[in-house]
Amino acid sequence: MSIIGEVIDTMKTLAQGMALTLSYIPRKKLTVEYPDVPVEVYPAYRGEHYLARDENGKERCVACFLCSAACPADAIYIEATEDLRDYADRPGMENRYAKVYNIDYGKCILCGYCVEACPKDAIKHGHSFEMAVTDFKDLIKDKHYLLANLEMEKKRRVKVLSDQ
Amino acid sequence: MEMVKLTIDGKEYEAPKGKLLIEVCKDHGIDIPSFCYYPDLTPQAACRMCLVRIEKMPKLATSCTVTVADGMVVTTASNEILEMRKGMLDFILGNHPLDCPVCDKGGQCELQDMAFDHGTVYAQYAVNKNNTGEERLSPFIAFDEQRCVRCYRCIRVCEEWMDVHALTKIARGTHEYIGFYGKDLSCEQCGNCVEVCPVGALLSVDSRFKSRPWDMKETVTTCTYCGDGCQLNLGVRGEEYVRAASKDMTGINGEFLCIKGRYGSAFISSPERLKTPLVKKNGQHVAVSWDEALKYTAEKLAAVRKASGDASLAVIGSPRLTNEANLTLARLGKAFGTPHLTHFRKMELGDFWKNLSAPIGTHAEVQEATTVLVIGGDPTEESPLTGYSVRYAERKHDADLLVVHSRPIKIARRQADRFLHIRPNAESAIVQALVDEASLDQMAKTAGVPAADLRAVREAVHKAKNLAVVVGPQVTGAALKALARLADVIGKSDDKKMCFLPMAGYNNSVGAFDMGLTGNAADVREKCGQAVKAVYLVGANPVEQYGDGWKTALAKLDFLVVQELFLTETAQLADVVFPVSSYAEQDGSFTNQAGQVQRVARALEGQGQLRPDWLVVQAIAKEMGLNINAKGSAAALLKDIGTEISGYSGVSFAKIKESNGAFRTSRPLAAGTAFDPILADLRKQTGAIDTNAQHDTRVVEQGEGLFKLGTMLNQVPTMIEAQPFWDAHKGETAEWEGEFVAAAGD
Amino acid sequence: MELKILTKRFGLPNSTSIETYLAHEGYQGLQKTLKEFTPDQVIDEVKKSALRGRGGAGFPTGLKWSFVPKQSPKPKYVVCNADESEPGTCKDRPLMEYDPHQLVEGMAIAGYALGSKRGYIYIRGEYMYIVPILEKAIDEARAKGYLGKNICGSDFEFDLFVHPGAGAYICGEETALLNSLEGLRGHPRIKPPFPAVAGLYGCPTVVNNVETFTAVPHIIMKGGDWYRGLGTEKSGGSKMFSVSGHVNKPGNYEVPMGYPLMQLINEECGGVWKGRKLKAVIPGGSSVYIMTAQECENATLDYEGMVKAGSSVGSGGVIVMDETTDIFETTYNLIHFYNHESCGWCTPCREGTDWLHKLFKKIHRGEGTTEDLRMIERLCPNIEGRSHCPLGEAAVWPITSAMKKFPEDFRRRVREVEPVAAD
Repeated sequence: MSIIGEVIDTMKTLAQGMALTLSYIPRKKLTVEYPDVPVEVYPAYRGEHYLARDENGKERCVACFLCSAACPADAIYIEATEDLRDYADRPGMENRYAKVYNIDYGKCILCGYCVEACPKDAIKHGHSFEMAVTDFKDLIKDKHYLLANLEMEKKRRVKVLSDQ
Repeated sequence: MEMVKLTIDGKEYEAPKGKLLIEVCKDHGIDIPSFCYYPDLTPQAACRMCLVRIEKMPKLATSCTVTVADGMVVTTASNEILEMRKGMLDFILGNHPLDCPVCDKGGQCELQDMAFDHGTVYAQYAVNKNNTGEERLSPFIAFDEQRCVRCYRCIRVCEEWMDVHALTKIARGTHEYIGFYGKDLSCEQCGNCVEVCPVGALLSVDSRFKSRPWDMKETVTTCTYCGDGCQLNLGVRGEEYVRAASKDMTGINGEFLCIKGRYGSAFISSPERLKTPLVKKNGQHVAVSWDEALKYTAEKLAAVRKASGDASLAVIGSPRLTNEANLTLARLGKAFGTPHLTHFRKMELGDFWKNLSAPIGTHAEVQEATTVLVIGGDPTEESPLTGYSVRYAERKHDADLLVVHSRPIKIARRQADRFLHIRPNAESAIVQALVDEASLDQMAKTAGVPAADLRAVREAVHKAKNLAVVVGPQVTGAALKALARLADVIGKSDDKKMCFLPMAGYNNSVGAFDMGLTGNAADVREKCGQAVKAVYLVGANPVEQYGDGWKTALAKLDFLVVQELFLTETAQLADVVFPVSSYAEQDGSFTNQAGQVQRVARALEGQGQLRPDWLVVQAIAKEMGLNINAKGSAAALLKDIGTEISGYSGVSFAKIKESNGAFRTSRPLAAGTAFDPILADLRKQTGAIDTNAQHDTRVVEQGEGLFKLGTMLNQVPTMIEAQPFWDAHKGETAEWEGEFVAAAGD
Repeated sequence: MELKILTKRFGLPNSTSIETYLAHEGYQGLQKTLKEFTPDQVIDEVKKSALRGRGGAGFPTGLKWSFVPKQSPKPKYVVCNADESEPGTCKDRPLMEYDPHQLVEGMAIAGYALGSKRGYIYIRGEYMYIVPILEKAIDEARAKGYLGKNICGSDFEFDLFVHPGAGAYICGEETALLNSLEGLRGHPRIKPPFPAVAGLYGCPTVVNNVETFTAVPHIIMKGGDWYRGLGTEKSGGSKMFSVSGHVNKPGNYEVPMGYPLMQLINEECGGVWKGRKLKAVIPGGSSVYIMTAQECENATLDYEGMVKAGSSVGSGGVIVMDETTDIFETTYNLIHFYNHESCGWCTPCREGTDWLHKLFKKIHRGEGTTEDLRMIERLCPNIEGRSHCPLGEAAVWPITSAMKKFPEDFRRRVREVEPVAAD
């Protein structure tokens, strides 16, 4: 092949490549300017868990241990206790509730088995993924953190896309 | 046994005639679901789950009430049957709250299992449920009416196993529930009703919500309370004790447990447990390291020994310790060369063993006996499994039950065919009447019982084909020796069987004797401060149990070492206190009063720097430079027991396992030693009985022995909380049963 | 054509006194028995009479008596089931209220036949006012030597006691009755063993209805063949029927076995009231299949005849319903009764009747759907034949038969919905 042929070939390839590159310039940008701009996630995204409350603000969790039984990573630790007061006075939906509810995010693989196992719809996946901490022991999140997590999520830099 | 041939699901089987069909099916692995059927309880035919089709019967028949007959043709798995089971489960689940997430039974619930196996997956019950709440029947037992399937196992267990009759059915039809007489559940609180409940209707309050069955590590071990040595399953979550259970167990007690066995083990996780060694410095206990404490103790003991001689040291073991611990203590005592090697006890078993004329019987043998003599001691309150076994013999084959006691105890009031209500401390008179007919009339006068009754008892004992003699701690001295010779007096023959069951009192009373701690504890007390300068005391609290005499005696000592679980009154006096493992935290073995060696297994690690008793003793010996043949594990020590201790030949953990958890020790029978000296002693003993003493007619209250708190039970929260409840029920037994009137003596 | 056999002393002045009774052939049956019959002959005579149990099941009385083991060393008991609680049945009440001595005599004869020394009359709690009447009669009989030791100069010994129940329907079931009599809860026992082998206190026991016992003196007096001749081949004698409901003259009527049902309604009872047409009849107390007017046409009041007509004689409580009756409401009423009276022992009856009652209640409130009807149809077979005692069946029979025979009364009350697919 002559040298001219080579030059033409090179130019052609270069033009092809640049055409693709240039074609993206007018298109919509995919890069998210995180943390200045929130990340968009789908509704079924399995983020950091939260513990749900019922319509009167009572904890839904009855500390049945099913989530911890279902957990493949053994990340959930629960201690149950009882409060024999009436519904209005007690913290939980039922007499039985969790005294301790810890999820160790050092172990958790966010598989969602706990959410599936929950008979009371008490544990759910939120959409937050900002779980990085600077101390290993801070990976263990307690009940108060998890109960507040749904509210906290609003302050996080994440945007949930609608179902459609 | 006559065998019959029957066909089940097209296959032919052979089964013993008269056996229940459901049992035959279970034997052959054919699954028939049932709630109300329970082995060893009367059939109910109430749950209707076990219906099967039997040819030539117009309707489906309950296999829990039909006995097998020759040529029977049974179908257990047709479409009709399966539909029926689904239907029954629909009925049962209809009103069930389906609150498995909050139910403690969830995970080991028979209804759950059955619903998975047979039921429809969705609830068809589209109408309102009869909602009821939960109720605390007593400080130990809670009842949730709506979960109840009305199988009546609890009621039958209460009536048949326990003879307590506390539970009953209340109201009728759909609104029927399990209730009790009176204002709350006043019973022995054994919790056997909770154990047999197939669902979460009856629940234990103490282990409430603490764990889930799948979250617990369960370890089979031997109970640490009375001498019966029941097997129990300790459930532990993490490092915390949760519960003791006996479901589906096959040990000597089956599924039977008493209040102490079931609810008395929470002391393991008590925050009051000693965690570090304590040394008394300037009158104050100070926590020190093990090394320091061991070294200090060894130095002190060596100094005392050097200054005052071998006999100035005393070693006191305990019937609470494992055989291994007592063995090392005995070795330590021997290494010291001290004669003061003993333990605290209720019964002088040494005298008994030396005169034994018939073997020690197991509980199973007592259950088979046709005549049972209970003399001294109250099995119901002091040895519940022995009580159960005696009642079993009465219930299953109407054994001739003879009771001798100075107070109207429960089996005397309710089951006894003949009750000799003797004067206080007159047991020896009855023993003399049994071994010496000539003095019978006189002995009847001495004991204050009708001569005719005493004669009848003597006759029944002498003629019995299969006799079990349950001996209580109130039979003492020559009477105990003479009673041990009873089989010789009666005369042995091939068609006569006889066994003894001593009610020794503590979980390892027999073992402590066998390991060689045979000295006299009272003797040590006398010599404290004089001949005895230092005491090595393990697992006993004599100050609390045997009074202030011990307090002053121990205070006179130069040096006192105590190994304990808690800082007891005695431990407070000690110069050094070692924190040791409880029975749940160490391996080892106990020998129960039936002479069976049973396994003690480690269920949890325990909190703090705990060490097993035998390890501490060996460490002290090492520090002192004594060779006590130290071993590195309980298993090795048990092997040593197997070679050194007579009657324990060949015992090991493996051997215990092989013999279904209970290795039977053998004891030589007394051969031909003279009986006359014993009889002479016995005559002296009966001569000293106060024949003017009034009969003690106070009815033995329910729980007089069972609810009494000791070192360990004092640390069980539910037991403490139950005190006001028991106080409120005091005097109830006498009130309900009325005054007891015994047959008057001459 | 009403008969006057059991009821023949009803109109007499002071009919409960022993004087009146003795003046009208009283205790002659007992005397004749003691003089002329051996116990076995009594049983043979009763067998010959084709007398069948009047309590509802219709078991041949002579046969039942012959099941009692003669050689048993245990004492034997005669128990009269006067726990008449069947809705619609009230025949035992007048028999005890107006002629108590007839029952006493019948039981004494039964006691002789069975070698028993003790008899008990278990009377329902609601009949408390009859207890003094019976006790007075027993005292009189004792004073005159018809009860107690050496009855009528023979060495036969027999005594009677009255035991009032507390008003539970289930205690009409013979084994529950025995439990109640022993002081236990009125739960039916497991059968076998039957009471004839192990009944009261575990001893051989015969339990019979009041009407059955009262027929015995007449059988002895006039012979079993005569008694059998009154009725049909297999159902001997006469029987009391308690007619209630929409008839002009409700009441107790004694008619021979095999008497046409329509004749009883139309002639004795003066026909259906207000000139209306007949819609349905429950012929034997509530625990039997309901009958349509058409089925009633050719029905005869004997055990076989009623089975042929699609129901059974039961205890003889004929409930007549006219054309304005809503059969749904009738069955709702009945299931309410059975739910209330279920003893709670076995699962199907306890839970089943409760579930059925709730479904009926729902339909009654107007919230029912066809799915609820299908559910009722599914539940009933799971109760019938599965329960511990016949109460479960008794509860189901009127429902299943009513739903089959009067479907429009049920369908009218519910909303049509698509069937839910089963799994």
